[in-house]
Amino acid sequence: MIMTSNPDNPTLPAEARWPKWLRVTVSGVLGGLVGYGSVKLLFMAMPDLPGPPNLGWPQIAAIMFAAISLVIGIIVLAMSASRRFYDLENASEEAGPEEHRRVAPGLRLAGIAILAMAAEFGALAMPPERSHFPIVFAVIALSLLVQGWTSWRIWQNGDELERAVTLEASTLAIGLVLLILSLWAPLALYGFVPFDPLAVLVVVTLAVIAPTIWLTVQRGLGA
Amino acid sequence: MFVSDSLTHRDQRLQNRLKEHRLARGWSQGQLAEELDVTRQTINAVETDRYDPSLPLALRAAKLFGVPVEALFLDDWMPKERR
Repeated sequence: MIMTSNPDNPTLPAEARWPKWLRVTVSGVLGGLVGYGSVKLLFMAMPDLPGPPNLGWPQIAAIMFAAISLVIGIIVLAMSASRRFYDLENASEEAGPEEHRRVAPGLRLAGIAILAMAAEFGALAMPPERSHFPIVFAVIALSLLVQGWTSWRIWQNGDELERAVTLEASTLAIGLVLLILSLWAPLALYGFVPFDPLAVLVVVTLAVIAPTIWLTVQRGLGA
Repeated sequence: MFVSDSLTHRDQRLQNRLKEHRLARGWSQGQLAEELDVTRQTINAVETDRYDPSLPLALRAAKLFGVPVEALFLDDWMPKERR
């Protein structure tokens, strides 16, 4: 990675010359390739291993969503434990203990919400057998309660920038969701895409998360 | 120059002199955030032109530094009759 010294404060870590979105994308692609390569090698080394079950793309997407949310949730919870993890891009100083006291609860709540989402999508990806229903429904209901509670607490604890980002992201998300559903409905009616609630939920959830992440970075709230 | 750049910058955000006033007092972003009861992320976002503060926050910042709000937040907009 190409690095330069931080002109504002030489005690801070050097700034990376690559933009954050590029670093995140490259890390994601590398991680995906390593994961794919590892599984390929595993099956080459142990050909007797049972292959993956025959799942539709909505279930595969839900499993991936649950796995990614689990990892991100754990990372966010770990970030809330130490202020060293959320120094700001272009900031002229390191995060202090007062900032940690103020920011950590919001990060902790966000981590809990993300883990609850992981549980929700994990439950939704289970094979739809009648005997699973009470557990699946209980997990989803509990997860929605936790997500609702954390969202409310984040809103209450947030300052004006956090609330502005929430409102902007909500406005964008409503537009995106309506756009997707308006296009999906005719395509599903004519049989071009599946009329599957899980598929709709996965795509709609992505449509809600994407503007939130984008605006969080745009407004400088990203760690 | 400082003002005339403002409306061509990003999505027409205000230019501001928050950082100059903060540094003149020898305050860190964290100290200013504490004074204004916001997070350091908000101060950083305002200083780096990623976010325009609300009117109450702009007024609080102006009061804190003892300057008119238009000395802190710069905008070259003029009413039509004066252009």
